[in-house]
Amino acid sequence: MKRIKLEDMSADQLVDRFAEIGIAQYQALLGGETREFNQLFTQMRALDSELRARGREARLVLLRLYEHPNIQVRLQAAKCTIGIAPVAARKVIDAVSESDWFPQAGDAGMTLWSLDEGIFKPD
Amino acid sequence: MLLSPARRGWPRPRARWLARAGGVFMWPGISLTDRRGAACVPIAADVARFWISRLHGPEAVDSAVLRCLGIAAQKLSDGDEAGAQKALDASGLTRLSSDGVALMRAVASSLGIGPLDLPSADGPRLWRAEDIQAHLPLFKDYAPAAGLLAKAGDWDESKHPRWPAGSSDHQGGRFNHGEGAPVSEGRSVSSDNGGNGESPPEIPKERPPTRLGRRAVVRGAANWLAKATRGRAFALIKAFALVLEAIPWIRDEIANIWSSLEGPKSLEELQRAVNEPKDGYQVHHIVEQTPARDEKFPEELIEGADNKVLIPTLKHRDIGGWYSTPNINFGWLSPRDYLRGKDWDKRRKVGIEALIRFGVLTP
Repeated sequence: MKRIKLEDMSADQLVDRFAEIGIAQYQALLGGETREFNQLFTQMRALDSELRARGREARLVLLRLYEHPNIQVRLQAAKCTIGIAPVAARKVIDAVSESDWFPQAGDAGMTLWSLDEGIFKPD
Repeated sequence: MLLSPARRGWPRPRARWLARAGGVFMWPGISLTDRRGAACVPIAADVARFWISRLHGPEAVDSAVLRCLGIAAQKLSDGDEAGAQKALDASGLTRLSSDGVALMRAVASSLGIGPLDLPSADGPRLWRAEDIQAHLPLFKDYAPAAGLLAKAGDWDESKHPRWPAGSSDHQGGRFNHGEGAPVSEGRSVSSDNGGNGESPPEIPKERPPTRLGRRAVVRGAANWLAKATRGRAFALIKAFALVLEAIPWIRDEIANIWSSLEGPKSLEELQRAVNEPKDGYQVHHIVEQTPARDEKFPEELIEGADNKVLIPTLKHRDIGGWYSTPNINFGWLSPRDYLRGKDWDKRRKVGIEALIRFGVLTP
């Protein structure tokens, strides 16, 4: 099957793909499959870069994933958009941090900490 | 008050009450004990009398029955499950009352579970049909535990209750294990997709062939239990624990699952515990040992008592995984790569914060 290039995909298609990758990341984290996660992370970064290249409006489409049923998808979407939707994104990350659902709750907690420490500088 | 024979999932045909997973259950899944710290105690006598008399009649509830329950609870507090079951088996509750038979059948039908296969005592029927109906909502609360307990014994796929084909809401053919009672407000609980947390995860009877498969099940079970604990769904927790104990491949992971539910502790407690290793826990280096060694930090710092804590195994895995995977927070690097070249204090600060945020260390 021919794979569509990222630049040929609509913003909605990119966001749908983002969610698929997030779900696959969730599985990789459950199984401790670091190599698999790293590949998926690279793919997610490419999607994020493509959305950034298209501007703020395209990135805002990611906000629809704030309500996604998968916790990893919600968390990654919030992290990628906290620079353009700081209040809403932080609320999502807060909720994941309080969820007691690990490892995502721990990652979300460290995200809040790294924001407060100035390590994470969202753009 | 009695337990159904093994053909419906209860572990032993001769079992009357069931002492398992730190508690005493009666059919269909009613817990007759509570936990007070480490102690197992009987529920209030009036409440126990109520439930026992529903199925066995008021004459069945004499002091000997409650005494057996008390002994069983004490045995469970001592960790003696076999002794607890022996005490329960001696309770003398071997027959259902005439009304109890009618109620039992109505409850079994209502919950979609197997009936008790016990003889009934001779005696007149006193309850009318509306009396039986009035009882059903009381039993409905125990549907999740009933389903789980039924699954804990000899699994028989052909007898496992399912929603009838063609049921509404796309339920046809799915397992009906009493998914009625929400565990908590959480919505991301199923083990496969972060689903919505209202029913316990399925535990496969066969050992998943891959590490990913096994860890997914273990993590799903631990996360669900954490949610259920927060939602105080104790009867369901006990029943789920029973399921875990009944499935051989996951028994080796039970200590890891339970330890993950432990709340955060002080740094001193975690450091002191390093000298008392136990199942379900692993020694964790606050500053990661291998990267520190690679960068020539002194061994007395890396292996010093100040750098080592004993933490739940699943938390140890979580934190190790977090260090090794790339993260948007750290400039798209993994925390391990981000910390490369940083001094000891910076590494320790991250290490301490990770212990806090992963629920191991009190803030």
